[in-house]
Amino acid sequence: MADDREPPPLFDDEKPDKKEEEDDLFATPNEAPKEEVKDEPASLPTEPVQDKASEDLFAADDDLFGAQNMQEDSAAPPQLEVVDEPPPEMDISGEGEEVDLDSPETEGPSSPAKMEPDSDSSPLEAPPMAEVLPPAKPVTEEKPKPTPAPRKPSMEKSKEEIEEEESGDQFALDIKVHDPGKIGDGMGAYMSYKVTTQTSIPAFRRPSMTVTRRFSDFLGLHEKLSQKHVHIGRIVPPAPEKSVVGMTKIKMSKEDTSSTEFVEKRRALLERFLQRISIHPVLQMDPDFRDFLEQDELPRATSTSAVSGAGVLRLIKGVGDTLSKVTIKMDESDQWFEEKQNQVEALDQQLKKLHASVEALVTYRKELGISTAAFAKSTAMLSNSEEHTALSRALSQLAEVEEKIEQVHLEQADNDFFLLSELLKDYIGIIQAIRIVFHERVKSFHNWQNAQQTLAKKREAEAKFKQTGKTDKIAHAQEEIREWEGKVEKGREDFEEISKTIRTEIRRFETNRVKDFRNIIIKYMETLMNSQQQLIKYWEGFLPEAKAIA
Amino acid sequence: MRSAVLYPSVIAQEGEDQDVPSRLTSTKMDNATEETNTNGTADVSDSPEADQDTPESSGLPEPTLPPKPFEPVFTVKVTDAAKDGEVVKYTLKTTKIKSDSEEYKVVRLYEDFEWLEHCLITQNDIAGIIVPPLPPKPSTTAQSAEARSKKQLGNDIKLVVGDEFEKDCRSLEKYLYLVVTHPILGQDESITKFLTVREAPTRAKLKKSIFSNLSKAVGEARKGGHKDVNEFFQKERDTVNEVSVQMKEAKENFMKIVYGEQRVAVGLSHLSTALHLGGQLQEGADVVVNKLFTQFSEGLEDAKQGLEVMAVNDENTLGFSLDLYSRYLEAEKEMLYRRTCKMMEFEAASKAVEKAKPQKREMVVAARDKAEKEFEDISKAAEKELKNFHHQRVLTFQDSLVRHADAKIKAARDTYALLTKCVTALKTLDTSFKPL
Repeated sequence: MADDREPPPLFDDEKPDKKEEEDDLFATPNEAPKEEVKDEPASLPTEPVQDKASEDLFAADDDLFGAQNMQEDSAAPPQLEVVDEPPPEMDISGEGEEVDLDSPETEGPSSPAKMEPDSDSSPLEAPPMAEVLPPAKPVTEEKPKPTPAPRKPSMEKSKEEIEEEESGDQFALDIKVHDPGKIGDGMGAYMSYKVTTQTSIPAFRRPSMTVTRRFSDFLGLHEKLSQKHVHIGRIVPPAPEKSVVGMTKIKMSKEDTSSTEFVEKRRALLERFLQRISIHPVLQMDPDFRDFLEQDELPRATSTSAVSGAGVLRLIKGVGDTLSKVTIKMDESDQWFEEKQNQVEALDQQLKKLHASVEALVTYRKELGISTAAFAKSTAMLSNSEEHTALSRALSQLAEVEEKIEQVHLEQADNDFFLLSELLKDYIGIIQAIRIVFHERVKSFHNWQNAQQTLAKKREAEAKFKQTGKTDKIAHAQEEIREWEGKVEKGREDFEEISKTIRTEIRRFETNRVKDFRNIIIKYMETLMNSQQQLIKYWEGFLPEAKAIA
Repeated sequence: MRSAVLYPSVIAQEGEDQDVPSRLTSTKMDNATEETNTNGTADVSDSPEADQDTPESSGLPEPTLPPKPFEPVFTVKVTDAAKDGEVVKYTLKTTKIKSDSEEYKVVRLYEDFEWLEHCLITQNDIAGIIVPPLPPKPSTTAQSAEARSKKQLGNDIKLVVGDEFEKDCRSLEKYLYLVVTHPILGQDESITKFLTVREAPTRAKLKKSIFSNLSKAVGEARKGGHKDVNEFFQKERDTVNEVSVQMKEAKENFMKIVYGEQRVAVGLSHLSTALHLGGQLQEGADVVVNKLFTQFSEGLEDAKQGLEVMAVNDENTLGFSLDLYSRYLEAEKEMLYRRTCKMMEFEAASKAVEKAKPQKREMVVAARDKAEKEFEDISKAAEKELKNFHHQRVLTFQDSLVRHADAKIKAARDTYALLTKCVTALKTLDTSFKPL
């Protein structure tokens, strides 16, 4: 494939960040988010449409939004640029310092991740940068015009891509899942979610819409998309996991922290699911997806329930597939596929190990929070018994500080979880989707081989008829031969098509992977930094009290 | 890849007299600092009464010279703990306060400390004294280390916590400080010999301590509730019963925080290691992701280090004081108990006088007078002790709390700085790659 060149990053992270970091080394936490926003004044308009204003660097919930922004980054901002800023060039110049079209950074294919340095650092941003870059570059770069899904300009110049790019230029989808609510009571109860979309894609009826969906609707969407796209090699984002335990608790009206966490976890998961679809150049244009986002009422997706007839069929089909996976061997003529499959398996292993480590970390941190709370109580008791007034007051202050620190620990544990753990889990799921797609290719190859074998048999039959002089059957045999020649040709075409598609998909996956991981890692590190800042703040507040004891 | 190292530092000794030691030394509860405190407040100085055995000597004129306030003679440091088989040898360095040049260096075993305690208790009238508590014997066996590790880190972390020599040295050092600065105990010959004579004093086999737990518990249960004639002491007894329990609980919970910090540090370390098990490919996205992971793992190491430093500092500052006073309050309880016993003896003797037949009257009255005097002596001594004790306690906690907060702030700042560097490196990482 042609070498792909990425435009250089919109912003140079170094200068703005360094400055602010120094200034705010000991600033109160609240200043941090503003800091981040300042990073992008030049390049982006503030993002009114983003609706992320409420996001706070230090709210665990909002971190979810931020994290998801990684996926959907393409979706949101580009639209902004288009709408608010006339020529993309303006943004480039606005970006100021670093956008040097001939900068050395453009040498290799640079990853899209570079494009969003600043946006990633703050939960407030969306990936706007990404969008700006592509439009800006066409002149100087060999890069094809950016694909519609601004997420990242695709790496290769395939026919398909160019078509997509041309049609989807500067389109975007910004999707949010919010306001989970419980509907009904008892075993029939379910959670409903609001799905709000902002878009500039003309195929949608309105630029902005909100609908109410329930979990089975999401599963239904996944089902439909899978049926249409998987067999031709597209990686469909995995369906959100069902959870019997979690839902049962909800149905039973258990209002405790674990069920709130469960709802939040699910909400975030559903959002990421939709966002991943929205950044896929083909999937985002799928009419079923559109319907999902804009139709007020959707037909109940009954086939997604575990015990439905369709569900059972799916199960059987799944088993069949598994068996065939085992039995079908494919002579891999293309080294690329073999390597990729190995690579994907290795990645899977690594991610699973990481996921286990992160889960352990989350547990330890939560325990630390609990211990801190227990100590706060002990300190409060000591304060009550203490006769020395100043010491008593200091102890009481200490108890308060420890309580606040408990919150810091719990918030950090949430960040550990929602940023790292869920990201890893998502990717483990995506890898499963990749496996499915590879398998489809094997099936396609198998079909093609079968067709070839059948053709050979038909030819043999024809030859035999000619030999034995059964002229009456020859014509029919020749018809069949033609039929099967067609099928062989189709089989070959399909196989090559799916192989090509998979290559594109994998490349897209790799690009996304780099971007996602980079963004999440940076965001996570920043939550660690933020925790430290909070510690500093609380202990600095306590110090004078301690000094004033005697 | 890492630029200038800026490790969060373990809190160093803070005291005007002390140099700041190298970054990674842990804090020592600085005797010198405390001495400055206590000397400054002149609480250590005593009226002559405490020095004399019979404050109310009959008929003798009071000394005309103002009594010399007690001044501690020595400064002691426990500088080293070396393991020799299963025995740990502690090196003590002592200097005379008045003349810096006189320096003594001796080696002692824990059993020597126990002997010292025994001598101090038996050779002095310790009735009204809150005896500084000797730290419990450090365990040195492999099994105990393992047990300790399990307790601290939990069963799922297969790491062994190292010997805590540093902590033991400081505890013993603090003990010696408390003895040396005590107006009565500090004058005992035993402590002088212990600190200055090279050979360890010969030890007789020690029987179980006279304050054996069982008899104490029984005694306290029976007499501990006995109402006091004196409101001040009644309040003191009530308070110490309440506070000693709370202090113990606070200490336990505090140590759970310290262990919790250590566990999170281990968790971060594991994650950091897992990030290194990257893909093997030399090209493509894997390369970039590996670079990201490597940098991320360094950042996690920074965070881990910050936590470890915090854990150590926590233990050295607030943890140390909570531990000391958990034990010290027990000593206060014991002293008050002794006084309560004397009080009850006095009450019994008074009752005996009321009931006494004329022939025995003189004897009984003499007994009562003796009991009364003992009770008054112990009350007076106790009152002074309590005043000193509480004053010292407040100062100690103030010092610990200040150091605790300072250490936290410093560690958090340092960690923040390191994390900032890491984030900058991440942001500027070249994430371009050639798709395969």
